[in-house]
Amino acid sequence: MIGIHDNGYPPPLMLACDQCGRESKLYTHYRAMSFCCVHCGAYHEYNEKRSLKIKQVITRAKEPTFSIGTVFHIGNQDFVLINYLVKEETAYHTSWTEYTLFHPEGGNLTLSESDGHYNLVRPSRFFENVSGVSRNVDFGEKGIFQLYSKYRYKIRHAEGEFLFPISGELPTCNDYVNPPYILTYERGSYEAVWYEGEYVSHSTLKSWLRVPVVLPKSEGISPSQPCPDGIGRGSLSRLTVIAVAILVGIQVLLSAFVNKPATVSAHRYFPSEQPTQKTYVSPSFEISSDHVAADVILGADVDNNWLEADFSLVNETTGDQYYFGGVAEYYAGIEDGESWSEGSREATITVENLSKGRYHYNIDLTMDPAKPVQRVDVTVIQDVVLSRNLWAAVFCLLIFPVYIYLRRKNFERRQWSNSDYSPYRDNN
Amino acid sequence: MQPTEHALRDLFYYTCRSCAEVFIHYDSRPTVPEALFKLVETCSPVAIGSRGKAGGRAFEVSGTATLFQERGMILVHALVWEDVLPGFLIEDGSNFFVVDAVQSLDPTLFKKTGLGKIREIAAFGKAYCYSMDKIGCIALSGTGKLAFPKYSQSVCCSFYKENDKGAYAFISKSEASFLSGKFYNFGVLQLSPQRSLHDWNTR
Repeated sequence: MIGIHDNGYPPPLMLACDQCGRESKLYTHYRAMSFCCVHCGAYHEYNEKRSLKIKQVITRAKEPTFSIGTVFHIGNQDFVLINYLVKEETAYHTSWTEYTLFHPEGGNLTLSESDGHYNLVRPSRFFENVSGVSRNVDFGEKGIFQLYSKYRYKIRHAEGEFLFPISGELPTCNDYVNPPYILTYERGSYEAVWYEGEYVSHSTLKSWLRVPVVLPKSEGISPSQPCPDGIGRGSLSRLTVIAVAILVGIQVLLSAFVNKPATVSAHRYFPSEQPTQKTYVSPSFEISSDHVAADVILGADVDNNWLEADFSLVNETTGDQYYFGGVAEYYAGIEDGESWSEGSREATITVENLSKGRYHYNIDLTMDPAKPVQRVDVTVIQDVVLSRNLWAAVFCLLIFPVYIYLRRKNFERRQWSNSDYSPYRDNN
Repeated sequence: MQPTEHALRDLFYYTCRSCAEVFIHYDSRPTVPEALFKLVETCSPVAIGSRGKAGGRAFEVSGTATLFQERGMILVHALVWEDVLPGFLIEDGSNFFVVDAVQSLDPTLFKKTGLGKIREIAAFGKAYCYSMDKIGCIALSGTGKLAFPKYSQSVCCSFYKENDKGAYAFISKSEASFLSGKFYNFGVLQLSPQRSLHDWNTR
């Protein structure tokens, strides 16, 4: 084949430094547009006629975590580390390190490290017409990204070969985040490109390497770091909604097909006809199955007065008794030309976990002596649905998502504390 | 040894297989172009003579033009499709771009384009211009049709469009070629034979 030296890729090109004379390895051969001598820091750049010239001397970083030539096994491809750059943001002077990984077929990846946190970044075909500071960008399936920072940078340290010149202009950059993803817009005189990246944990990073490495300890929270609970925001909302819907669905099904409320007792009493009698005993009625709930509905013709009823429900088979009470009170009138009312002529008392058997109830009535009620209705309905149980279950179900939500809000508040564009206003 | 010529159209290059001299064939007058850089290793996985497929059509790589720009480098591989029509495979960093169509455009396109903006381009639609770079020098190998009639004092503009579509424009003062097509992952092109990756990065 013409155009290549042999069927395999050649070993790195050894290129002598014009300043110190010692050789540097160029893995990408003549794809490189510049290189920074690994021995003396002399920065060489090709001009447009492909003549190599020293442009400046760049000091080397003291201890880069990874050295030139380190192999990273990412996916099914072995990328080689061809350079590193220490960049410094011009306004706040924060710095970070970028390592470029190269593979002839896989292209170029950037491993970015800041405060011990890593992102793997690659060129993106995403495009958005950004003018000025756009606060949000929609990246389709990866969601809405929020502006985290806007900055320019300069190169503090460099070493290795570069696929573009690193001298000259200071590009403008916008970082957008939607953890674990990060989206960077970088604009210079020649390019306006987007890079998409993803947060990389220490364990994942170590799994890419063939040799053990000591990584710098992570400090603070990275802009793209996902909340450690491991559940996505959308997933948590979806799971909660689904779980509540299932609960409500079960309740509806039980109401429709399992519980069939039936009236087992309905009687009317006339206390005004026998003013001395305060206690009444109902006829017997049947509760037809075990573990059922029953509603005892107390109704009275109260009108600007009240009625209090104390019940004792007696299981005639076992002698078990259940004590409960209810109040019906209703007041109404006209005040300042407007009518008002409060209270109810009816009260419902639910009795749970009744056993199968014959029952009767004793009812002891107390009422306003100045205005006694004329009649009292008591109805017993068995197999009623206990909505209280549903709400208790919903409450228990919501404890975990609410806890996660509050924990995440606290995490995000701290995550955005270094941003000029924080959605948490009290940070400002 | 005489160079092999494909039956293509107006502007071709040939590299002599014995002396590596490059000839440009333009209006039937072969010339040796100036500002040519020597053929160099660029670690490209695309080799002259290899065959592949794109969009269901088979092609063979017949030549490679290496464009050294001010801020980077791209490779424009000349293709011959199975129906003997010429084509291009552009290798730009991590992108592998197969050209579907070539148009001539108004050379003032460069002034109208606007880096980082979405622009309407006639017969193509809206696209985002993400790169503009002057072509510094060039290296040619093999045979093929040039994607750009004049490389000196020319600019290469790169465009993205929706759904992995895009375009490259080579613009000089007098002419502009507009190459539209689609971006592919390298593996999809099924190039054969391929360069061996065995121990490439550990030697």
